[in-house]
Amino acid sequence: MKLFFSLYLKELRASRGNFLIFLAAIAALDVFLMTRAASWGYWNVLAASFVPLALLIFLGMLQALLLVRDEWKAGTAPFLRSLPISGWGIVGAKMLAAFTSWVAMSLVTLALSGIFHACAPWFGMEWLPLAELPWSRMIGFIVIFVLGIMGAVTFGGLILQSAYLLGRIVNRFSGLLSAIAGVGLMYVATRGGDWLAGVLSFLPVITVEVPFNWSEGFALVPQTVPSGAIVVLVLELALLFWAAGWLMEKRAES
Amino acid sequence: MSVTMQGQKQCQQALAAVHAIYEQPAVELTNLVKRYGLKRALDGVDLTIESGKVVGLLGHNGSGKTTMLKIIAGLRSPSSGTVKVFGMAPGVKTKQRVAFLPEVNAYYEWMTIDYLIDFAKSFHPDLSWERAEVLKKFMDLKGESKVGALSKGQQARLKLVIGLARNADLMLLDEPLAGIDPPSRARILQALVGEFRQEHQTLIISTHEVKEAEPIFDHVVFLREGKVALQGNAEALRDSTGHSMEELFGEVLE
Amino acid sequence: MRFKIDEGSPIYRQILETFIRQIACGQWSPGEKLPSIREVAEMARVNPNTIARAFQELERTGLAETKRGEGTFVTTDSNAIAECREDTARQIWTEFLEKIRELGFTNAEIKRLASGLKEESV
Repeated sequence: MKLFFSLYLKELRASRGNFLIFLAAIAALDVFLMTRAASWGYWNVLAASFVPLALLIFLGMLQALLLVRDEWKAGTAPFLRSLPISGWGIVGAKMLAAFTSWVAMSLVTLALSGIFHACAPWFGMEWLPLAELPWSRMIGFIVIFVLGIMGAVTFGGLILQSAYLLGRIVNRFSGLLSAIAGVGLMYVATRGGDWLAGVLSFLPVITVEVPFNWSEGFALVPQTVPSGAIVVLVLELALLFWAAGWLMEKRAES
Repeated sequence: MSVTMQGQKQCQQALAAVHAIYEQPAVELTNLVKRYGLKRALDGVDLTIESGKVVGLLGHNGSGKTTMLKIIAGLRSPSSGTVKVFGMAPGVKTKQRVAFLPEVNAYYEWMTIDYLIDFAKSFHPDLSWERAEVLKKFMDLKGESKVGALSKGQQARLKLVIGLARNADLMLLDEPLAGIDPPSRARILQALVGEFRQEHQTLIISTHEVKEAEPIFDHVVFLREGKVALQGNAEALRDSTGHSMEELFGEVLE
Repeated sequence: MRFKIDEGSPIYRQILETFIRQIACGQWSPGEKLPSIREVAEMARVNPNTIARAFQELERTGLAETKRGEGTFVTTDSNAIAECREDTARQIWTEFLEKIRELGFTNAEIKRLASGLKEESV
């Protein structure tokens, strides 16, 4: 546990560079957007400030890949893999650090947008009636939405890490092998996931109330989420984690 | 005070375990083969290295020295044959007791020397800060220096500080003298001899620059094209052949 | 302490001879403690087992003795040291003779050299 934590801290420290770059970028974007409030309209600009959140999902996955790839690029892989920690510990620490990075970057984005919203009076606008929203009914949706995105980031990150590590088995054409493996893994995971979800369709569905149709006014519409899909996601995450860890432990060469 | 039966049994078991560790060979390679594509980096190596010895692994670049050391360290897996380190297959348990010092700098360039020692210590509890301080002074290195800012000679000496500050049972040094200035070389050899703990340590040093290092070897193993061409006790070979290990290197490996 | 090592012949013998010569020269006084095996190994950058073997052989010559837990000491037997000095001198003398005869020097010429020496050292 102590070893895992030590490695996790080091991975966070290694992620610091990209995090700082992101901070600078989001700050610059928000400053730019602020200056467009008049010409584009305040609400359009506020909505635009949330757009990086979508990009961040892919950045989170990318960060997971980079934390693995940089070890080989910087030549530190022999040192890392000579440490008395298993391949699963290494993959776990890196995945967790990338995840932490992603959460931090998302929170920063949300915070900045929140501040922007709080400043609405300065732009001559009134605050959105957030307090009036039916939060208690939306909790189910929010939880499933957030967990889903977290799952997606983890899923993508593990696929990228596994693909890279597959390339590390050979010492020539590693990049090519990784690319093919990445595509292959994605295909198998999604196709296989669909099939498995179908098999598990007998499992109960979860009903959540989803906010719908922002432009025409706020409404909550019930949607169903098959719990089988959730099971499949969890299963696939476990399988991917096991595979990535095994590759790091037994097959990757440094 | 009476010694309980259980306490006695535990004591005996502990002693037996310690005995077992140091009675079996440090390294046992049986018909070890490592293939890269069509090429065989190691072509059927049979080698047993007893605990407490300083072994010189001699051969030209490309003879398989680095591959052999990395397989022992658990960084690569054999294509066929068996590897036993203290009777176990390379893994987390052996990595706790093995220190691998690669030829090229493998430490994180953004870390300061003190940070690196702390990091290593969190994984290797046997690393003593006292020894590290003494070694840092001996090797003329400052704790605040960043690894990336060090010269090649300084990096070579840093590897030794980390390696020797630990109490590893098996130390694997890959070309520790290559491209190093003569004063650093002398310091490195002196530190190796001075810190070597025969009661439980084993040193395997690969090099193609034999002359300076050969007096410190108990045993030498000549590697040619992935096979053991000759091995034996260094002094006995000097006696029987009338040659230095350097001369034998020329003879056996040309 | 410097050691000139020729890697072409067993190193333990060279270490041994170095110590014998040093004892014969009086560099080590009778009863003086020699450096530990580890110290010599570190200074000479030689494997400790090699040094240990040299020390063992040194003991066998009677010029030194090992006291358990304390180290290795030069013998206090002045006869042994005198004999060693004599043996070493004889060895050097033999080597000298070999070399000088290669030059073709006769015994008379050698004696001439020797008498020249006597006057110098007074």
